[in-house]
Amino acid sequence: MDSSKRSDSLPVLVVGAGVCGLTAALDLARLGIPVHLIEREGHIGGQVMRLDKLYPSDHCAFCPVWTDGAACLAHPLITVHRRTSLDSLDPEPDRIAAVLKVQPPAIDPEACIFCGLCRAVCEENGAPGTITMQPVGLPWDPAAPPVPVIDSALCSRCRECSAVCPTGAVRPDWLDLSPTTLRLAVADVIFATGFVEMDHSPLVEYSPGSHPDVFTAIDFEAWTAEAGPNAGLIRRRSNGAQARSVAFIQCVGARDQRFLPYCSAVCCMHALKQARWVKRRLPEASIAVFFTDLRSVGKGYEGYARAAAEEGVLLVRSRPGMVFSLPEQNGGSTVAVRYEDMRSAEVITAEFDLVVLGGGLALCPLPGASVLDAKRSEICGFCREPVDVSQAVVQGSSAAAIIAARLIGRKGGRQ
Amino acid sequence: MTGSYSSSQSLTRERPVRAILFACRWCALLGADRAGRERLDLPASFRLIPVECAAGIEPDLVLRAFADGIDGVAVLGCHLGGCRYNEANRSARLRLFMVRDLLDIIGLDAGRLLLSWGTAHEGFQFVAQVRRFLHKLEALPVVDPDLLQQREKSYGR
Amino acid sequence: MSGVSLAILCTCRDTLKGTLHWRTIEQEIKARRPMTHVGYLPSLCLYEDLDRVKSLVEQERPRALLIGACSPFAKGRAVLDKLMTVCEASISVTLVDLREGCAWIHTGDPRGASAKAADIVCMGLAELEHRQSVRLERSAPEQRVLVVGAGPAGLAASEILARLGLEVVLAERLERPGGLLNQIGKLFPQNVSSEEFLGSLLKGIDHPATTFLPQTTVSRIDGDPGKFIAHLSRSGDEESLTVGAVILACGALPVFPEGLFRFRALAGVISQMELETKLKKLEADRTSPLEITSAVFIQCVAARDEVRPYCSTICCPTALKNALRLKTLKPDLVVTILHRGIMAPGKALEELYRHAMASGVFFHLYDPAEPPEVAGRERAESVSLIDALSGRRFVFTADLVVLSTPLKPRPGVAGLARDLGMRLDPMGFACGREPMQPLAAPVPGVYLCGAVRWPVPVHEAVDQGRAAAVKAAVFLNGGNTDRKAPGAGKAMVLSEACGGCGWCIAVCPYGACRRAEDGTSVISPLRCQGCGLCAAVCPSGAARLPERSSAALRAMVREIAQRSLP
Repeated sequence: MDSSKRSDSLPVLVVGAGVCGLTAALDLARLGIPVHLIEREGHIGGQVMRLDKLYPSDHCAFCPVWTDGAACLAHPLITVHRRTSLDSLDPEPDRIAAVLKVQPPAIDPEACIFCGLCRAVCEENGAPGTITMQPVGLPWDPAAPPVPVIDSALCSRCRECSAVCPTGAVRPDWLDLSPTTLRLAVADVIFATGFVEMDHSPLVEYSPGSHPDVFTAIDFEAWTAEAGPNAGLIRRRSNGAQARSVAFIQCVGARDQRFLPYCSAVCCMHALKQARWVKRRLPEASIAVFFTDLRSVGKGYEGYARAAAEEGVLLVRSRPGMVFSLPEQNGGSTVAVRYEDMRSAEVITAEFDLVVLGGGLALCPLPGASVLDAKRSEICGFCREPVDVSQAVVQGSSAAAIIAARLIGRKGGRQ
Repeated sequence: MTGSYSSSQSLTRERPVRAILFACRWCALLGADRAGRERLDLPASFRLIPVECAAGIEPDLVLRAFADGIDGVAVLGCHLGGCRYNEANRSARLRLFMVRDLLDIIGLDAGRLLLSWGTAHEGFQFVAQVRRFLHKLEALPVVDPDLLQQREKSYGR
Repeated sequence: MSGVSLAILCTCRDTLKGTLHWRTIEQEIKARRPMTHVGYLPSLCLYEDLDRVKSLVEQERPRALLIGACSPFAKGRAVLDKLMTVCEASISVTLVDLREGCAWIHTGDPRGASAKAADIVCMGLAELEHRQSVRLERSAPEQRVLVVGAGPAGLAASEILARLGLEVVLAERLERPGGLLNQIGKLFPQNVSSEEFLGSLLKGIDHPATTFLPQTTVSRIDGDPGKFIAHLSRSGDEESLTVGAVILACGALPVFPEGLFRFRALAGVISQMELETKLKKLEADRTSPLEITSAVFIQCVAARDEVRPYCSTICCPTALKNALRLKTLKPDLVVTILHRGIMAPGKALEELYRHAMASGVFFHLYDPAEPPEVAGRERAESVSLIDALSGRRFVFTADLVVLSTPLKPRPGVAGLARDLGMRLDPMGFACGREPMQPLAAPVPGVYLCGAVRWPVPVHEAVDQGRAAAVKAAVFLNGGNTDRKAPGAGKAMVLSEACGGCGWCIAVCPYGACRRAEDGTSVISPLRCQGCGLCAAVCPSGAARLPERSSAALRAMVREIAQRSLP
C-alpha cells in the first residue's frame, strides 16, 4: 500500500489525547496521514493515566498507556498540543478551519533538561508541593516529555525557580501569559473528549464534600494508589488511621432522572477493582459494594466479580438513600450508610470508615461538533457512549479506519 | 565436603558488598527510574544491568556471577501475566527458581538470588526491595571465588 | 575506523557535579580502558551540541559510541534517537543512565556514585565490544489480507482494507456472507433492519480487489508475518494462499438450551434465536397474527453457571429488543422478563431498558439458587418464580417461554489460534493484548475481531472489524516505525553449534523458533520479538541475541567483579 496515494495532504484533528485519541492518532500517522492531537490538560493519557490499576488484569494503568503516549510524542507525523482547547470549527468546501486556544506552559518543554532545581529551590523556600515533577494530585506521567508542573494556586510568584533554572526554561512571567491562538486547516476531525466525574454536590443525601472520608471513585483510587500519598496503604483521610471498613456506593448521580439518566458502564467494574485491592491490602477489613445492577458484561468481567465475592467482598443489591456522619466516641466521626435490605425490607444503617461514591461519569462536550456533519467528523470513545478502555481503543481505531479510508481510498464498486 | 560454605568464613568484610540487578526495561527499570526521580536514597553497592526481558537471563550467567565474586544477584521482571513478551517471564521464573535451589546445593545462601516479579515498579517499592536485599547481603560473608573453585573441583571425587 | 571508543558524557548543565566527580570518573574509565576518549557536553537533550558530537565522531572515528546521559524514560531515549541519525550505521551506539540511575539515587555518597558511574560507563563499553549486528533481510510483506469469516466483523474489515488499497480474500464457511446477522431481524438499540444493515456491509465487499470465497474453510495457517501461508479447503479442493496479514473473524455459536426449562419437552418453549426467526416472519407478514397471550423470557440460561461462568453481553439487550418487538406486534401481550440483573450498560441500552419498562414489560429478578420453573402438559402453560427482591412467589401465565442462551466459542478456532500464536481465555475465546491492543495477537500481522474474541453486539463487531483492518493496514505499511533501542534485536541460531535439542522451540512465546530439515533450529526474524528465552535455555549457546548476547552480559558482570576497589 503506497501512502503517497492519499488524496488529501491536510492533517486530521484529533480532539482529546486519552486512550481513544492516542490510538486514533497513531493509526492515522502510521498510515502516513498527519495528525494534530490536542489535549486540554497538561498531560496526555486522559483519565486512564490518572488511574492506579486497570481491570480485569489488575496491572498498572500507566505502562500500556505510556507506550502509546510516548509513541505519539515521538512520531514525526503527529503534533501534540497540550493545554490546548478547541475554540471553533468552520467547515469549508475542501477543508475545515479550526481555531485552537493554547495555554502557554510555565516551563518550556523544549528548553527544560528536567534537572529538578526549580523544585528544589521552591521546597527550600518553604512551599513544598508548589512545583512537582509530576502533575499535582495525579499519578506519575512521563508520557509527556518530563517537565515539572507549577501549581498556580499555590505559587507565591517569588520567581526563584526562574532565577535558578540553568537553561531559562522556567518563564518568570508565566502567570501573566494569556492564551495564544492557533489556526489549522484540517481534513477531518475526530472527537475523543472522554468523560468527567460529575459534581456530586447536588446529591445532598450523600453528603458529598462534607466528610473527609467520603470520596469519589477516582479520588479514592488516587488516595489508595501504590504511588499515591499513602504508598498503597488504606487510611482514613479524617485521622490517618488504618481503615477497618469501606463502602462503595454505585450509581451515584447515574441512572437518576435528576442528574445523569444513563448508566456509566465502567463504575461497577471499577468499584470491584478497588474493593479487591482494598481486600488484598486489608484482609480483615469489611468491604461492601452497594449496587443497583452489577454490570460485569465484558471479557473476563464476570469471573472478576465472582472472584471479588469469593474473596469476601460483600455485594449488596441496594441503592442507599442516605450517607451521613456518625460521631465517634473519641472525637472524629465515621460514615453511616442507610440502605434497605431487599429481602427483609428492613432499613439498615451500616457504619463505615470510608465511603466511595461511584457512578455519575458525564460525557464531555464536543466543542464545535454541531457544525460538522457526519461525513467529516467521527465521535468515539466515552464522549459518544460510556465504554471501557478496550472498547474506547477499538472505537479510536475504527474512527481512524473510516477517515483513512476516506482520505486514502478509492470508492467501492466495480470499475 | 567439609561443612557449609558460610560457616568456614568469618563475617568481617574484606571488601564492600557487590550486587548486580538485572532489570527488565519495562516494569523494573521504571521502578528504578522513579526512585531516582523522587531522589530516594540507596547504598551505591549495586549495579543495574537493563535487559529486554528477564527471560533472557541464563542460569549460567547467574552462577558465573557468583563464581566471579558477586555477592548477590537480583532479577527484576514484570508482573506474571503482564510480560510484554507473551508470558516469557513465567518461563524465566521457573528456571531461576531452580537456580536458587542450586545455590543451596553448592553452599551459597539462597537469599543471594532475589527474584521479583512486578513488585518493584514504584520508586518506593524498588528502594525497599533493593535496600532489604543489600542489607541481607551485608550480613552474609563475602563470596570468595577461590573457595567456589575448590568446591567445584571437589565434586569430581 | 580506529580501535577507539568514544564516551560522551552529559553534565546536565553542571547540575550533577555535586555527586559525580567527573575527573575521577574519567580517570577510572581510562585506567581500565585506555582506548577510550571521553568528551563532555552540557545538555545533550537540547540538541544544540549535535554538531559538536558530529565533529567529535568525525575526529575520533570511533568503533563504538557511548552516551552517558539521563534515563531513557526522561530525555535519554530521545537523545539516543537523535544521535543515531548523525552517526554512521557502522558505529555501535549505546545509552547509559548516569542521572536517575546513579547521581540522583546516591546523592549522599559522591564517592560511591562516582565509582558507580565509572562502572556504568565501563559496562556499557564492554557491552559494545560484544555487540554484533544482525542483518535482517527485509522482504516487502504481501499486500494481501486473509479475513476468516464473513459476518459483520469480517465484512466491515474487508471494506476498510479494500478502500485502503489492499487485496482482500474473505473466506466464509457457509455459502453466503452475514453470519449470525442472517438470523436476526432487527438490531438493538435502534431497531435497525438487519437486512438493510447487511446490505450496506455487503456493498463494502463489492470491490475489484476483494475476493469472496464461500464454502471455504481455513484448515491451517503457517509461514511468517508478511508471508503467511493459509491452507484453504473449498468444496473438497485444497489450495494455498500467501497473505501478509490475517484477521480472524470467525464469530461464535449460540448455545442450545438442551434439556433446560423443558426445552423441546414442551411446545412453546423456544430459544432466543428461534424467537428471532419467528419475529422476522411475523414482522414481514403482518397478516398472520401472534397467537399468544403472554410471553416470559428467562435470561442467563446455561450462562453464568459453573460450565459457562461468564455473561454473554448481548442476551439482555436482545431480550429487551425482542420484548418490545412482541409488544409492537401485539400491544396487549403480557411480556415478562425473568433476569439475574439486566445487563444494559451505557446510554443507549439504559434508554432501551427504560423504554421497555415504559412499554409495560415486566421485570423480575431471580436468584440462580432458586431458578424459575416452567410448567405445562404438552405445551408451556406457566412459569413460577421466587422473586429475589421481595421473596414472594409469582406464577406467570405463559404460552411462550423464550430462553436466552449465551454464545460459545467455535470449536475450530482453537487450532487456528494455536497456529497464529493467539492465546485462548479460560472460556475458549481468543485473546488479543489487552487493554491497548485488544485485537492484536502476540504474533505481528495477526488480528481478531467480533465474537471470536467475545460476544458483542453487531455495531461493536463492525467497529472491531474496522479497527482490526486499520491495524493490519498499518502492519503492511511497514508496521509501526518506532525503532527499537539498539541492542534490543532479534535472536538467531548458529546452526553449527546447534545440537537439535529443541528447547528453544518449546519455549518461544511466538512460535518463531522452528525445526529445520537438518534437525537444527532456525528462528524466523519476522516472528521473533527478541525476548531472549531461546538464548537463555540453549545448552550450547547456539541460540543467541547477537546484539545483546549472554557473552555481552558476562562481560558486563566481569567489569563489576574485577574493578579496582576504592
